[in-house]
Amino acid sequence: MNRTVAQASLLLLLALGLGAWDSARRPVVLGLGSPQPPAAPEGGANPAATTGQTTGQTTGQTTGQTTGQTTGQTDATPAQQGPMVSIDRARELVAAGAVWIDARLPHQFAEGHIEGAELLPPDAFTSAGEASRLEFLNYFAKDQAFVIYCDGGDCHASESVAVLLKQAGFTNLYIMKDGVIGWTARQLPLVKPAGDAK
Amino acid sequence: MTGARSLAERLLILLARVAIGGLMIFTAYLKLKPADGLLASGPQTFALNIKAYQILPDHLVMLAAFVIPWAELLAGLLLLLGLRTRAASLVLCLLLASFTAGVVSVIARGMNIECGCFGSFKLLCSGPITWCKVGENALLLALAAWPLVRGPGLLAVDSLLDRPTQPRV
Repeated sequence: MNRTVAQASLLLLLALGLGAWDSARRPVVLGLGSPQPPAAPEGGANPAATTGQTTGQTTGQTTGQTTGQTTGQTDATPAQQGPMVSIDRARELVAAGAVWIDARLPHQFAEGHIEGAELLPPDAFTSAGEASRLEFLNYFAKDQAFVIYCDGGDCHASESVAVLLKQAGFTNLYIMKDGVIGWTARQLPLVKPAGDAK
Repeated sequence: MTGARSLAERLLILLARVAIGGLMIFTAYLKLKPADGLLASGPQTFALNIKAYQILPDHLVMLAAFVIPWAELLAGLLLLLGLRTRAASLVLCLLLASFTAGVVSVIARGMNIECGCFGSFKLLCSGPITWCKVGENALLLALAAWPLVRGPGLLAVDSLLDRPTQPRV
């Protein structure tokens, strides 16, 4: 038995060494930290408008507001005001062209989400099987503003999605810290997928 | 600890080794794979999954995100080969026991998160963490503990290494 424990300890030490080497090679990020300033807008129409027109999934609300606009219209960047925003500020950002991202689980999204939100849980970034869920991101410029939310309270999904979007190159990311709990407490409406505005 | 005697039990232990060893290698691959386009790297998503449990401080989250998959990979390979089988089995039992403790803690705190154990691949349970996950882990733990208690079973390198030498006549 002692021999088994000694060998198991050696195995764990080897894993520790390999893990330390690997983490030095490709460090991970756990929070947004200091967001980068948004890139200069790419000239011409915002690709978000194209998304809405071609997929029909980005709601008319978002599409209508972003057509012909750039994300420069969100008057303060995360670098200037921090990524955590209130419900009121989040609504202002969306009115100015930001896109809602719902980072909750699919069944929660189906039960009710903010109108115009795209479902994008952290899981979508983990495997090729889920990659189709990410395809809509390809239509957006890297400086497109996104407002990400989850349940609210102590949920971490929105921050996880923000980290993963940042690693994918997106720079204009906001988190609605009060989430759906705060949204419904204010008696603001949620919609179900079938009831989405077209 | 005793050794398995019957051929049937040794065969079943081999099957348990292949199942658990193969599963651990697969999950380690998911947790270690590099980033690919919009898909994040395995350690990045695993670190965020661990963070969502709200058990470890950030510096330990970053360490665990790399050490756990490497431990799964090494132990899974050894278990599959039947090399240092009992040690590999012990490591996997420790890992599975700590995962189960984390899962129970999430349920006790009423949190609504997914396991993140196998990336987006689901074994027996899907959706947010429930008692189903505890049962799944208990099953895996029982399979992983079998070689620890009863020895490596059939087709194990250990059997070759531990073969008694022929007595001189």
